[in-house]
Amino acid sequence: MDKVSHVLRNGWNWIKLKFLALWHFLFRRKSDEPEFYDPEAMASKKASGTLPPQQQVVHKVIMVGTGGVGKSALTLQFMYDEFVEEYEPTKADSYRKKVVLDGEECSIDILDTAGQEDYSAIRDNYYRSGEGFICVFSILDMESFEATNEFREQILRVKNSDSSVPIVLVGNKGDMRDQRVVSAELCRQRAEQWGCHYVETSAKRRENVDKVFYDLMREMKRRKGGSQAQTGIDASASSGRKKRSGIKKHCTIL
Amino acid sequence: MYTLSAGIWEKFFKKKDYYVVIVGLDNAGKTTFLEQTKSHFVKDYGVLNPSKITATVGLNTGNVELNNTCLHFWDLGGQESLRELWATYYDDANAMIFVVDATRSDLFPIVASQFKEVMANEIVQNIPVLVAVNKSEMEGAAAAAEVRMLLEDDNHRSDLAVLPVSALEGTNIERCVHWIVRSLASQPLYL
Ligand SMILES: Nc1nc2c(ncn2[C@@H]2O[C@H](COP(=O)(O)OP(=O)(O)OP(=O)(O)O)[C@@H](O)[C@H]2O)c(=O)[nH]1
Ligand SMILES: Nc1nc2c(ncn2[C@@H]2O[C@H](COP(=O)(O)OP(=O)(O)O)[C@@H](O)[C@H]2O)c(=O)[nH]1
Ligand SMILES: [Mg+2]
Ligand SMILES: [Mg+2]
Repeated sequence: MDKVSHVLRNGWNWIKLKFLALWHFLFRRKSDEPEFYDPEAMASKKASGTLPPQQQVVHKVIMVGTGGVGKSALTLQFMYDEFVEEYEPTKADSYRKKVVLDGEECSIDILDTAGQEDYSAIRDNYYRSGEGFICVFSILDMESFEATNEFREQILRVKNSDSSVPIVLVGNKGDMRDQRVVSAELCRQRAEQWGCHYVETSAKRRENVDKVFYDLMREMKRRKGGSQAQTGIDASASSGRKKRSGIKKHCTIL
Repeated sequence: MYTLSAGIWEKFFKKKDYYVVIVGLDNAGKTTFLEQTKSHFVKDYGVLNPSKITATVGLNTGNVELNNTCLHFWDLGGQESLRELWATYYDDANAMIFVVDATRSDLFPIVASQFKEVMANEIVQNIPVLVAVNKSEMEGAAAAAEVRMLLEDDNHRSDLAVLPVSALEGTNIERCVHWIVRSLASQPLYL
């Protein structure tokens, strides 16, 4: 049964991939201009002198949580639509990728940490470089939930007890709710106590994965004070052309 | 019509070829990385004894096929006098692997300035770059996160990954190659 679903999923992914390729082949080839290089916008940026032509906002996110809760799975699912069934412990992988957030181009930098760190001096150092944190536990594992408090304390300690540092609490493995150990009520309470969002995800089924990163990045952006132009969520559903005009609009405001 | 269908045929069913250039200081482990990659992905590949690997002067190549994709690796020499040659391979490169020896923190300033130089190239700025933090199995090797901070760069516009590896033991090699394949096909995310 598992095999059948695996084959089906692979097939579906293949079709998706081919379809995407076809789409790009048919519609994107004409535009020689690279999609995200907008000379006009760049020029206006340069003129206003706020940003050098190529520099852009980078949002630095750190994934924390005990081993095996799905930090890597969430990261890879978010960035590459991929889920790996077998568990490979992470050491400290880091990724950067281009994101268009509310019609505005930026980069996300994700540091995917190991569950148990032994050298804490280095860890403090890279926690310090983080601007937003995703604190993950598994709803099937009470211990991983308990540990989230400790991770938050470490973050706050490094951030000089600045409790406004953007954190999202994530309960992963939501596809297995029938076996849940950590009640939804408990999760909600903790998020309230922390003053942050709680999101329940399934890295496996790609449920709420985008929401986690979207919520966090918006908050980070707000903190950086770069959010006068709010094009809203509907930007994500609009066409490429519209997106580009969105970027333009924002840059002229800048 | 013919060209269109031929184009579609090519797009879907022909293997896609990508060129991946491997650079980094001498003795970082580039050649070992390539040998390890070949032994993971090429069937019946006779692994070269690591002690037989000597400093690269010319160019080592290797081809790896997976998921309808063919990766052609170019492993270049990392000695100082050979570094000027790297740029001659950028024109045709679709991705880059930059290998760092994590045990030689004394060389990190040079690594950082080399990386900056590499990143100044406009082609490199627009292709996926994987930083392989090598020899991570050794005691006292720098953490990948540390190397990450060393290589901060604002010019790069494509995907970047910094992964700890051991070319000698083969740790994380598969993850690196999968990342390359994924990032070659990936688009910016719209949120
Ligand atoms: N401990 C350890 N040693 C490694 C690892 N990878 C490579 N080495 C050793 O590092 C030395 C240099 O490896 P090479 O692969 O020849 O280095 P290179 O980057 O190709 O060097 P050039 O060709 O001169 O640019 C060899 O003695 C390898 O055995 C590793 O992961 N761990
Ligand atoms: N059922 C289910 N399994 C998951 C989910 N996310 C991760 N896993 C599995 O949990 C294991 C650990 O995941 P991983 O991302 O490596 O955990 P990390 O140590 O926190 O990075 C792997 O075997 C994953 O396949 C999920 O949402 N649902
Ligand atoms: Mg992990
Ligand atoms: Mg070599």
